[in-house]
Amino acid sequence: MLDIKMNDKKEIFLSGSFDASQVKKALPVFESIDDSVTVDLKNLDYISSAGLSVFVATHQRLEKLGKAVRLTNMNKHVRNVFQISGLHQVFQIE
Amino acid sequence: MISQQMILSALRVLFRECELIACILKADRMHTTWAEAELPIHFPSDHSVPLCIWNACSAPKILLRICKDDTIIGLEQQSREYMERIFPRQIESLEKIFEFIREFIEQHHLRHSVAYTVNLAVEEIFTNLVKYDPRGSTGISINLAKNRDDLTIRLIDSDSNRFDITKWRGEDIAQTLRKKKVGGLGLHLVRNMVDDVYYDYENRTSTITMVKHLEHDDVGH
Repeated sequence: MLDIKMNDKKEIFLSGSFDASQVKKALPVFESIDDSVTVDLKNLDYISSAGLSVFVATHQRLEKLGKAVRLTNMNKHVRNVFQISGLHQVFQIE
Repeated sequence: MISQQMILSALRVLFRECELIACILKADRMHTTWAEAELPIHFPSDHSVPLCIWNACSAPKILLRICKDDTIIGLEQQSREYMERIFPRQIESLEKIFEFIREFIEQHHLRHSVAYTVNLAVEEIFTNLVKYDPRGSTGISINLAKNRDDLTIRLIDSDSNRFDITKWRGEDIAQTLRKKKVGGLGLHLVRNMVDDVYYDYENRTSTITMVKHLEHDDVGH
């Protein structure tokens, strides 16, 4: 199950599992973003290609507006998935 | 009842898994209550060791012995070495699938990194099968087996079109992004996170078998 929270600074906090069954839940949140955004992944335990695809779609849309997606605090397993996919070269990761 | 086609399909996969055969030999000595039944199958081989296969249904598991005249003897048996369950062909099954994997991981005291790989491999293949054959008439069977030095992760879809993932050629991620669509990312991850992938297709049945080698510290105590 994926939990999504957004604070007043428009930072997004994800926790739980970002798998294919959670994409419908996540899409409206990510599609509502129209400025550079920071996504905190400290409590995200798992992400699959379905979750990565949501990040990629958001990145592609914001890039056209001159904005960016910044990802922070990812655990080593999630980081490993980003590295294997090659997406660590696409996003700002801290 | 297991069909001849199912057995032949499984055998083709099994003959590439030496470790699995060794594991089942061990199970053979541990279990003594089988119901023996001859199956009218001829398979050209000089093997005379017992082999285990998984059928497309949840039970029974069977053990095979290939005789000198190439007749295969089927021996029903229950093994604790593997778990199998059938899930409805829908993305919403993922929650139950992850629970099933958690049971298996806990039973074998496997580390979190192994759990992550199994979750990811199963999710990517399962969602692919659902995506490309959404109207398939059957559920999708997931089978997890722990052998001495590896894990075997197997998905069986008995109403699917052919899609041999071992022949799929991945794309560079930068190229994918330029095309402005994300495709093949899941298969790319699977092929980089497991050690071997096998595909078999017969009678609309796709069998995808993935093998993950275990390191010493992958198993806890």
